[in-house]
Order: sequence, then structure tokens, then C-alpha cells
Amino acid sequence: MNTAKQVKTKAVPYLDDLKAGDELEPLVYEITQDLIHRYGLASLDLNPVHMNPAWCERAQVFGTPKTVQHGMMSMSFMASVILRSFGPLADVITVKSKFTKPGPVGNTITCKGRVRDIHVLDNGNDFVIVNVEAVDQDGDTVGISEVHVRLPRRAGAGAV
Amino acid sequence: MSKNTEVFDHLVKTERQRGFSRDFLATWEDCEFWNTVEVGQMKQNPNTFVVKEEDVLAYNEALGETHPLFVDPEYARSHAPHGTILVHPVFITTIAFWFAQPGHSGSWIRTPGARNPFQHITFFDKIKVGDRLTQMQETSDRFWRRDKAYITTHSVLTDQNGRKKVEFWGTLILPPTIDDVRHFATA
Repeated sequence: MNTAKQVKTKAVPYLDDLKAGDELEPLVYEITQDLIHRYGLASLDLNPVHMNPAWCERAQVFGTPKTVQHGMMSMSFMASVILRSFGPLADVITVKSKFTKPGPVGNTITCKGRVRDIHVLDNGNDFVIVNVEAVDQDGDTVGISEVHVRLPRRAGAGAV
Repeated sequence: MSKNTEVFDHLVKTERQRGFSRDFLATWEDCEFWNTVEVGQMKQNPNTFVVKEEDVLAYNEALGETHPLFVDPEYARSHAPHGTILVHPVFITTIAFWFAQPGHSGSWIRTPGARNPFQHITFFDKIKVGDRLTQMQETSDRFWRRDKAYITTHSVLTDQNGRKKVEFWGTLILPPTIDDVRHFATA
């Protein structure tokens, strides 16, 4: 039996059921060299600053002898906060990210999302903006994202 | 196998990864440089990126996604809207690096010593397995800020039906000259 078929797909929430300030379930990951290698190959970003520990000891692009995570991996995990909270079918329409501190191997990153505001356009393109912050184990912000997600309205729903 | 890639060559699993130049440092001189790149010329990349299931699966699995719509092709065939596993939004990265190979416009994203300050992706339609994507790309900006050399790529991806799927702006901080890049490439 394929147990995967027992999985119930999480329904995308209605825009009307969200409000500014709602928090999404955090996503936590540890930056390991294996994770970086797998992400680097999957993304084709094979820059040695991520992929080659020996080169990093010599080059120290970020002032550390360690390899660092890809910014795009950080962006991916920040986007995944929405996919895991709103379900895999969530309609992400914009992702903007800034990377504020390198994430060397060994760090643990927690990505926390919060609904910032709700845009009711009444034209089928209603969306929410979720701010996602990625912080390391010291509480320092390593990345921030603004993610726009198009959401359905409840039938007959009026102004939010 | 190169000494620069031997620590991860054993993890290669897709046809695209096998055919891709994995030694980042071997081709740095064939890429564009911050101080000489042409700005503001939108160009059509001659290649077509076919979105393959195994590449999407590798991306989703690398991020630890576990939902079967992301990682179980058999489940997706009967449960996903288009019958294929879902493409993670930031899979755009794979597409961007594939298009920006040495010799092509935007190849400066492969610069040793590059740092990533900010990115912006806007989706007009979801990318799906089976899509055949073409790319228009320009280096849209180049500027100094706080003694660092910034550069921005602007790309538009279009599918086989001529529908605009994605527009993105990717910014990096680069070593500005070939000599500055050489410092990192030969470290």
C-alpha cells in the first residue's frame, strides 16, 4: 500500500479567515555541509563559497573559514514556511528577500512567518502579505522575506 | 572528477546535474565581469529549459519537503492539479543558473567571491513539470553602495505557449574587476 495516498492535502485558507498578526508555524533547519551540497546540486549554484570547504578556508569571502548556506536556499526555506502553513497548493505570487548575515555550516536557522496585511481587491486576485524572518541560534536575523500569496474568498464574504 | 567537485560528485542524481559544468572555478574567465558587462540590453537566451520531474524532485527533496504533492510523482499523478509534482517557487534558481552558463548573458552570477544581498521573484503563472521555458535577460543595473559593487539581472521566463510565467530581479555584490575575481578564483 502506498501510504502517501493516505495523506490529506491541507486546504489553502480563505483570505477571510486570516488577520494581520497571525503567526505561521515556524520552520527550523540546521545548516550542514550535506544540506548545502544537495541544495547546490539541485539549484546548480556550485559556487565554492558553499560547496568547497578547503577553498573557503583559503578565500574567506565572508570572513569565516567555513562554507555558508546559499542565499537562495534561505529564500527557499522562507517561502516553504508559507507552503507548509497554507498547504502545498498555496498560490505564491511574489517573493522578495534580503540576506543580512551569512549562515555558516553548523548554524541552526528558524524561519518565522507573520501575516502583515490583507489586500481585498474583489477581482479574484485578493492576496495577503506574509513577512518571514530567518534568525540564527543567537537570535540574529540572517534573512527577511516578503511573500505575497493569492487566496480565495469565502462565498458572500464582504469587506475584511 | 575534479578536486574542486570530488566532495559532492557522489550526490549527483539527475541528467542535468551530470551534464552541467560542476567545477565552478574552471570557467571563471569565460564569464562576464562587473566593470565590463553590457547594461540594459535585453537578450534572448538561445536555449530552452525543459522542466523535468527529476530536477524538480531533487530541488524539493533538498529542501526536506515531505508532502507527496512535492515528492511522490505517483501520488501527484492522481492528486495534483496538473498530474505532476509541484514546483517549489524558488526552483527559479535552478533555471537561472542553467541559463547563465559561461558564454551567455548574465554569466556573472557564477563569479567566485560573489555575495547575495537581495532577490525579487514575481509569478504570473505556476511553473509546471513539462514546461519548455525560454528566457529574456538583461543586466539591468550596476551600482556602488557603501563601497561595494552591486549588479542586477532582470529575467523574464516564457513558456511554450508564449505565456509569461515569471519575472525576476537578482542582485549580487561582486568583485568588480577581473583581477579582483582572480584573487578568489585562484585562492
